[in-house]
Amino acid sequence: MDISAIPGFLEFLEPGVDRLAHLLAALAGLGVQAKVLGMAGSRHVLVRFKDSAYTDSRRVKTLVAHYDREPGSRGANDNSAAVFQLVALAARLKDRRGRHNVQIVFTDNEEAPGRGSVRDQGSFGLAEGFRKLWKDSSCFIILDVTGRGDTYVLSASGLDLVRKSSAVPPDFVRELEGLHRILAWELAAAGRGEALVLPTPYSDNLGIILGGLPAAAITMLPRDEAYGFGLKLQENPHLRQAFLRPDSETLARMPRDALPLTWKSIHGPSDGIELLTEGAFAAMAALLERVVGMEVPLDLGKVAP
Amino acid sequence: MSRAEELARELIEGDKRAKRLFLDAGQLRAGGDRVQAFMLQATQSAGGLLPDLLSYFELLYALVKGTDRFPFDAEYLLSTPRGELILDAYGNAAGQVPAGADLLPGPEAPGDGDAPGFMLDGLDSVEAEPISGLFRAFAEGRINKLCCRAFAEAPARLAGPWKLELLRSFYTASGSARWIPPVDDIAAAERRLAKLPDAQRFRDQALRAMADAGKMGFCPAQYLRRVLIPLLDASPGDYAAFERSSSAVADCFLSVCAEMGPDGDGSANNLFTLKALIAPLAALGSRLSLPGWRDDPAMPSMEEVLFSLGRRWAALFKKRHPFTRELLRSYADHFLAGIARIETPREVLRQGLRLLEHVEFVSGRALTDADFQRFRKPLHARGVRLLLARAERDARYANLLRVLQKHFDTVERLVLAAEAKAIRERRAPGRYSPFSSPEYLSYLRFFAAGSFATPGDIEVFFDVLHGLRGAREGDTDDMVSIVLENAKDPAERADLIAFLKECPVFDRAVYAAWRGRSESGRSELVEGIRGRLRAYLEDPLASTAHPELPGLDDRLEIAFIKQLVRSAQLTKPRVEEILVSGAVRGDDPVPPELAQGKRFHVRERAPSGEEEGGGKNAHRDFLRARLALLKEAIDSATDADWWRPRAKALLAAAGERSAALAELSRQTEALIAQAPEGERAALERKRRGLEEQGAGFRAAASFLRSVAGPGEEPPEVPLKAAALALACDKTIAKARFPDAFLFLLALGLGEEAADALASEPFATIAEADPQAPFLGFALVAAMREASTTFVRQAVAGFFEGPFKAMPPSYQAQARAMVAAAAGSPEDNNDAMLADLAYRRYGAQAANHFLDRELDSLGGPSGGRASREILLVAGKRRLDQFYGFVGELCIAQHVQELRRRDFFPVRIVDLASGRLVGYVHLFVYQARIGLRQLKLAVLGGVEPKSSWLAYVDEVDFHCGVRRAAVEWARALGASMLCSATGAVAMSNCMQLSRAMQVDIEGKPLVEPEKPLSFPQGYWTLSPLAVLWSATSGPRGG
Repeated sequence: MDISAIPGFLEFLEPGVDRLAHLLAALAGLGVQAKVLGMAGSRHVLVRFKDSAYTDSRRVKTLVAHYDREPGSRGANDNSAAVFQLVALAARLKDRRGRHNVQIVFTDNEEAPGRGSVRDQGSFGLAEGFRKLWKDSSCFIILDVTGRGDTYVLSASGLDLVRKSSAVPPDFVRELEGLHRILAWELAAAGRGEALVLPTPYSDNLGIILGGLPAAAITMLPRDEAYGFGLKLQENPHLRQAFLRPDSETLARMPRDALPLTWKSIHGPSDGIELLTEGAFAAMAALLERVVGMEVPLDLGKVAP
Repeated sequence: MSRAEELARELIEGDKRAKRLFLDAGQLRAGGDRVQAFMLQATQSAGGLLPDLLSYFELLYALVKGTDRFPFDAEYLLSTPRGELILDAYGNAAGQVPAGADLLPGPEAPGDGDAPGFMLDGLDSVEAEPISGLFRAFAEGRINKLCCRAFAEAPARLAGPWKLELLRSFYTASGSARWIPPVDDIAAAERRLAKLPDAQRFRDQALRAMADAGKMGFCPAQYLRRVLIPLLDASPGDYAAFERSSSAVADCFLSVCAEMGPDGDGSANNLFTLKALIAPLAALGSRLSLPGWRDDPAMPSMEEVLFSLGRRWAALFKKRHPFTRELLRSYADHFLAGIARIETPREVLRQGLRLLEHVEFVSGRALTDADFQRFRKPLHARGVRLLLARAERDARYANLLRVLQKHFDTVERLVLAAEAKAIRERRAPGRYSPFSSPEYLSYLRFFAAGSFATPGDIEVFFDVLHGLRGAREGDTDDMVSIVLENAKDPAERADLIAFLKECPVFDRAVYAAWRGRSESGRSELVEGIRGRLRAYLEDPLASTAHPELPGLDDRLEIAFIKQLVRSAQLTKPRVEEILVSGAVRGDDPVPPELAQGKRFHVRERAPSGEEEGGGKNAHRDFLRARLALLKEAIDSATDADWWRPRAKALLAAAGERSAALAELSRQTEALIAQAPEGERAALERKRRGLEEQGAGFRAAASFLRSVAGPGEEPPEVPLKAAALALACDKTIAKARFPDAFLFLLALGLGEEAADALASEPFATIAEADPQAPFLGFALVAAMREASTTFVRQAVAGFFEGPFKAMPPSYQAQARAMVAAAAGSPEDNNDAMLADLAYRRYGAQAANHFLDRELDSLGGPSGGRASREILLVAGKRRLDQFYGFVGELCIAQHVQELRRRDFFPVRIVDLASGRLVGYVHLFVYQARIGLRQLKLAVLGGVEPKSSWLAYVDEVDFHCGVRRAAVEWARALGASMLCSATGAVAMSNCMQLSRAMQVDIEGKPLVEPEKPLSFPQGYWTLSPLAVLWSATSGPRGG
């Protein structure tokens, strides 16, 4: 698979490009219908499939990737890769029969915590909006920085955060645990074992969790980087603590040599297409197919351990 | 009762030991009330119950109990932090002196002009003192408590014949606190003399000799035990012979003392000369101790032999080389005993002088700790011990002496050669050691293993060693052993050496077949064997049949297994013994899916900086300390007496810490009184904590004392075990970690492990210099493996050996201490306790640093060369050694191979063709919740840690996991799971850490019936799901 040959991908990385318009055009070019949701100053893009794809007996799986990027960065891995992996999925699902219960949201203002509070993050408003629209029947699976590597990483940060917080209702903690459990099984099934659970920098999962809806983030890393980071966490327990203070300084607080190279290369001019790996796109396609087939019960708090 | 007296009573009642003593005193037949009054008064006067004071009370109690009389002039001197406090119990405690009281005359001032010196007239000039003289002598440090008690409690039947009153007076007037009690040895002598008509003459002569020895500074009891009793045994009932020989030995003492002067070794209070020079010559069986030889005009006189040796001995010690004594102990002294036993006095003299010359040769070169360690005395001592045992068994001492003479010559030759080489290479003094040449080390390994039965064997050894130059590296020792065992004449040796250099395995029949062929036939045969060895390793179904070696399939398989199984826990003869005596093999064949090997590549680490010696160690001080510990541990494993002084040191450490904590507690108490109200509670908590800690130490120390008993040489096994229990005590271990660590190694390791420690890859540890500026990758990797393998083995060995030998009551206490140290419940089984203790000493304390060091020395592995690895399951005879190859503590559980659910998977390094470990794979049906599932479980991934150090552990783990997933799929398993405990996952901590990263956050399952491996020992539950064929369980 040639990443540069994905229609519209290279243009999406260009500086100054209108990424919303470009995204909508890419979806339209593949025959996928989308609409823009204006929520709390952010413009999110929602892709819903035909009504027959949905059932009320299970949770709707909302797959999320932010389409904005850090100023000055080309944003190839953060987060154009995930955006186009979901665009490709949308194209595959648009005519698929059966009740897969999947919808896709491309979010705006993910990088907001750098400029203000977590509540400024686009996904926080999105969660509030979703709660109004679909009550509590959705769960969110966030893809962020998924364009490089061969190892799935399920982020432990959101769950760690709510477990530490006494303000979070226990029922919500159990729901989040249920979602993690389901995803951990899927990763074990999808990756022939190449999946780890590690704390990661926050993504849209932060805003959504604070908005009161269950969310989990998935990222990808090269195996050496993923294990290297995992081993450093074992050596230095304080490193894990750093992820429990969600703000723009999360990465900056950490010793540079402790972080995976992939994370060090985002949020800057080095986040170009040359960092991406074809294997990551193939692995994500396989995982997304499993997620499509995955069933999420309404009562996430009762998912068996 | 006055307030002060009340306070004293409270103090006594508040101290368990004092309270018990007080109550016991009340039960005495006579004088008990006076003892109690004394205790109260003394406590009151001293202002507290100081440890010294309690000792006095015990002494007083023992005296009164033994004599039924209170010593009214009891007087003692106490050392306290506030200075010296003298209490006169006569005036202050005991009241008026009753009529007839046993009074001690005041000390007499020495007269002017008295010349120092003594008369060798036995007890003739000793004046009897009352028993209370013990108090003053004790206070002034001339006698210890054990001696006091022994004299007080001596049986009446000995008192008269052995003039104990005079002997006691001699002890109190001229003794030393280091002297041991004589009563037990007197009883032993009495058993020999009781029925003799002229027994009293013997006793008088013995007492005379004992007292004269005492005047020369030697302990009379030791003299009786080591010299006089053997002389009594040498000439039973012959007074004339006894008198002559004991006089001659006494003369020799005098000579040595005169030669060496007051400061030299062997002077006053020094037992060493007595033990190492005199006792061997006078020992039972020594020809010097036989009656009649002295009258033979052809023989040199006893005086001549003893005096000449004495002079040479003194001259040797006058050189003041630091390790002279160490060299003699348990090594050279055996030689002396040997020559005394069989040689004529003329030869005793000649060879004794040669021995002392050799000791001087070595001690003159081993002037530093590092050089002395390289000399490796424990290996010399071990070889001598084996030779001695053989000589005693066969009653052939001549051979022992001939081999030892050759040994001395060989050591000197090798050392001189190393020195000559260093001079040729212009190496500066201090930059090399004459004791570290490869030949010297190789020779020593064989010497220590008892390989040389005759001097000729040593010559053959060097012939073989030279013949095998350029042969397979790392196998040289094995090949030398084979040649020494199998080829007697030189022509056959040459053939066998050629065969070994060519053929990867050895079997006599194969060798015979090879020998009978032409040159080209030999090559073909060996090529065929090579191919079959490789096939045997890589294919669990491959046949070992060789068309040119009909009927030798079985022998060939044994030879293959011996070659493939490399374990520090097993020698090759032991492997063969296991195979021949009934090997275990799996009853069921390996499923075809598992017999299909999986190959993958792992990246190599390329150690940096080692060659140039310019590398840097990240934890240099730690590495040096660790290296020194391991070296000492290796020595201790071969040194029978290593543990004894350390046990005493631990005991002393417990005492010191206890006293320090008591003092801190007292200071804190004083602070509480002055502190503001708000701070008192916190200070009081601190004080209680200190008290508790102190109580822990006291308990540990009293445990050791209770096991050890009051004697000089307590029973060995309980003392070892108790010392280990003390070493494991949490607080002591913190303070004296090295001792505790070494105890684990020294007490738990068996002879085979000691052999292994002296061989590859651990030999590099013994040869390394802890002060070297840089410790390279290979050395650190070997240290890492030694830490893992031997600490674990030693802890398990402790439970198998010393622990089981203890009486049940001590077992309970020792278990409680080890459990407390390991942070484990006491009801854990021994294997679990051992493992927890291992983690405390091995993994947590050291392996972390060693891993990090290996990481930094190994450098990044990305982009470097890779090795191909093969994983293949097997259930053949080879595979029963799965635990040995992986260096596991469960290695003995070979019967697990018969389990239908267990598949040992060989880890084969295809680059070297070596078997480097095993993966423990389980495939079985399990019930999880309501579902019946087929599970594949990784119950341990166990490569050799010394091998793993050279490859990328993450690569290796991922390769194993991928292969296991493929097997699980092929076998129709629903999921692949991993054990979750760090040690259950892998003994290699590096690998275990990588696996821990993998299982973190993964779904966990708990089968209804947990997997147990080995059966009944460990439970593998819960299991982490690494791969699943389906989505997980759903709720809602």
